[in-house]
Amino acid sequence: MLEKSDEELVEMLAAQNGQAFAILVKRHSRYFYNVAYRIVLSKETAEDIVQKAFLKIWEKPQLWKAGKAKFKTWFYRVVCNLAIDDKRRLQPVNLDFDVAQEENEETDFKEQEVLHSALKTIPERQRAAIMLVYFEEIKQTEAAEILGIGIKALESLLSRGKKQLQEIMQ
Amino acid sequence: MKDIYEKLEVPEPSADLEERIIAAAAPTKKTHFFPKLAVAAACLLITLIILQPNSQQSELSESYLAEIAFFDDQYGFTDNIKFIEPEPQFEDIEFFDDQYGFADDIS
Repeated sequence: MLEKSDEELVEMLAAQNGQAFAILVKRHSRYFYNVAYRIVLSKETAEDIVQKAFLKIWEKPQLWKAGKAKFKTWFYRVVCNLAIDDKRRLQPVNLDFDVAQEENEETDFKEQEVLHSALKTIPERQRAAIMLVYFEEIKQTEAAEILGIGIKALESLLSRGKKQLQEIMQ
Repeated sequence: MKDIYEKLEVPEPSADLEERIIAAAAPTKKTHFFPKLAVAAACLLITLIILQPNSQQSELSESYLAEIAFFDDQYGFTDNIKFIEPEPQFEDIEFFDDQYGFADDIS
């Protein structure tokens, strides 16, 4: 079972195979938690988003269409959309670092605070676009597909987000 | 742009994140199936109540009797029944009567 591909495991979910689901969770939860965190910038929210995304595929595995996209590309889309639509996005930034309590790592904390503040100033959609293209190094066509937008709209998001971030960081 | 995200530290997720996700998935499917099963069972029960024959009916229909008769016949129960003709007991009656002298009074 462990050597099965993601696509094979998702197909097994239609028969309510709990073992296949557990393998998918163990294989991808950490990775997609990181993806969600870079968009929402909150540990609890990122964990909730990953949980919601996995429950979505557990309850409706038929949402993933075998011929259309790879499971990972499709799951990116689920996680990114949940992160962008999250209702708690207007909440103030909450840094979830243990280092925040430690005085000797005050410099790191300040740097993180600046990064968080800078990223928080741009909308989630722009943040997601920048994260996918520049950090995850996903092709623009694929990133546009993940975000459910056209290539022109993606370019616009990237351009505006980049400009805004550069201004803040300077 | 990449360096911004590279510098951004992502906190460790909760140690039980995977377990929580797996545990959350298990009951959701049961709750999905439960109402369907409950509704199906209720419909079946109602149908059975409606279609059930009146329990107060005392007379057996001819079809039931035919079935019972067939049941007896096929195992040959009726073949083993022997009807013994009792022999007349007149002598005993006479003796009984005689001992008290009842017969003496009969003329």
